[in-house]
Amino acid sequence: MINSTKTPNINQIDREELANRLIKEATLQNFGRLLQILINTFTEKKYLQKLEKREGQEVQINFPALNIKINCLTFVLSKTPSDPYVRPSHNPRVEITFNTREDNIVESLIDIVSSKYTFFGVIRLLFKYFLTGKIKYKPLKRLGTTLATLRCFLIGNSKILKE
Amino acid sequence: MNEHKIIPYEILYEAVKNSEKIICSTIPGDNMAILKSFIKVMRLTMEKNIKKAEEGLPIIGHHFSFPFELFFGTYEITGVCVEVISYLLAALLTLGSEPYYDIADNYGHPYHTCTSQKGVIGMTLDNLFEFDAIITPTAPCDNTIASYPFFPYYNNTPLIIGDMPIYHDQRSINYFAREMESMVIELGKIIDQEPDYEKLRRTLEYHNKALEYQAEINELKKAIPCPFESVLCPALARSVPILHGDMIELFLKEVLEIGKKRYRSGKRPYGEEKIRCVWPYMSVLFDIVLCEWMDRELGMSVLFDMFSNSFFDPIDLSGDLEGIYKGLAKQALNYPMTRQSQGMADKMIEDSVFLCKEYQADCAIFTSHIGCKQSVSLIQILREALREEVGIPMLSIDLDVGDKRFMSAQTIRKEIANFVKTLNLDR
Repeated sequence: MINSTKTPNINQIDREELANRLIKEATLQNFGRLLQILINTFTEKKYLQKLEKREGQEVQINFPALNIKINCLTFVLSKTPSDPYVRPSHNPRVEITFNTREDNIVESLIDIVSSKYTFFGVIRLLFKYFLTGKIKYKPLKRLGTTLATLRCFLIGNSKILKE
Repeated sequence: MNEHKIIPYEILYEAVKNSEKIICSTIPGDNMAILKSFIKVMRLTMEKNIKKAEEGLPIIGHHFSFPFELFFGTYEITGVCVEVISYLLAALLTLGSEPYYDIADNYGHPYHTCTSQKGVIGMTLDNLFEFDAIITPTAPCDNTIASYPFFPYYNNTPLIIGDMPIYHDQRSINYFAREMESMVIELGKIIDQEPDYEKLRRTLEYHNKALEYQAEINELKKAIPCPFESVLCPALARSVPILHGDMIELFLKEVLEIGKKRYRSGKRPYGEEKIRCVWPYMSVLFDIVLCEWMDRELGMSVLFDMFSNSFFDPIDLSGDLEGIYKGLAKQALNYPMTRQSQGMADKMIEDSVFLCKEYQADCAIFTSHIGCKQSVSLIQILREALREEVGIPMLSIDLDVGDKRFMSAQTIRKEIANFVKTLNLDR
């Protein structure tokens, strides 16, 4: 047996900060992975196919409430979706910002993802999130890209789930 | 006060907690039922472990291919499975454990060693773990034997090693039982605790119950269509080493219930079963939805991988302690991967042929993991054995099961999809 003579630890306050920062960074990555899983599995093929004409465009989603240096995910639109990047986009087609409190991000994501992509479903999200400023997108003229992205996230009425 | 001795474990807990919330709230009904159960039990286990760490209980890192119930049951400790941390992070985060693989590589740890240990090596180099001791057998591979001594070398963490014999006969069981006993005593001295063998017996009662459920699950897999999602295989790979006592019992009980319900209705979770497949080696552990894709898009049921290949005898708890040690030693020698990779290659071939025959597989897929050099020489022999004895083809894919940079999830899907096109499926 080797006797334990541990190397000195960094001080406790730093460790607390380090843990909090790493947990937040991982939380952001986790959101990215979960969204990718849900899109890959449950978004209907016809919606993904429609992304073909927007292939390569980047949509940046910001989570300022996480309060970390890099607080955004960059999705590259494609009919074969892959993991988002955890970095700002060099040339975002659309920037979507979640202005919700940190502890409300998960609930907001759940609410949005489980919404139905129907006229009333989109109107509900518009009133609940976009008109109240909880979620903003810019530039405003790129509503088409925003809707195309949103369409892939909303799996509430996905036929794959019902099957 | 939380001293944050296991920061990656805390990160993982947050990721598991958020994954549970998002997946369980957005995916209704029977969809992803096994994944939902797995995440729930994982969260419960991690909650308990983090609480134990906050209370100041010793942090014990351990190898995955080993019945950790022995230590978990005998002492009051916080168990952290080295390999599961790396690979569960790989599944739940976009970057996975990749930054930590790179830290280990830059430190000088060979790039071609197994990522399962390299992740935690990188995390330790980054000062994120403070283990009080680490436990490992000298199995199942060279990576284990070469990577675990990093911990005492780097920061003098006590390393307790159980010498596992190459042969797996009765003499070896007796020998390894003695090894296990000495490991228990050594750990007790390091953490300054007395062994509580009554607690061990209680833990092993759950363990035995879990084995009963496992046996029933294995039987149910013979049904056509298979009532379980393919994700059960990678879920078992991560759950068996990390869930102990009542938690593993709870998980397997829920899985069995899901399977029974579907079996009675005669329905497969996702549409028609077109292909039954055995993965003689590991599942892809960085891509949690690969299994969903195989289930839904290809109609392929993955019946077994190496880690779900567990057919253990329960441990006799009516006898003395020596009998318990021998029972655990027998299990340890037959643990997934230790059984197939540590000794002679015949076990691996026999097991694969048995599983493919018994469970009526149409094909096999072998993941040639970069870390597992010991398995690469086996691929052609195994392919020939499966063709001659079962009459099925085997695809081999070169990849790293925990690092998507080696071969991406999309390329793996393409390879599998192309392979499936070549199958003759006149069942």
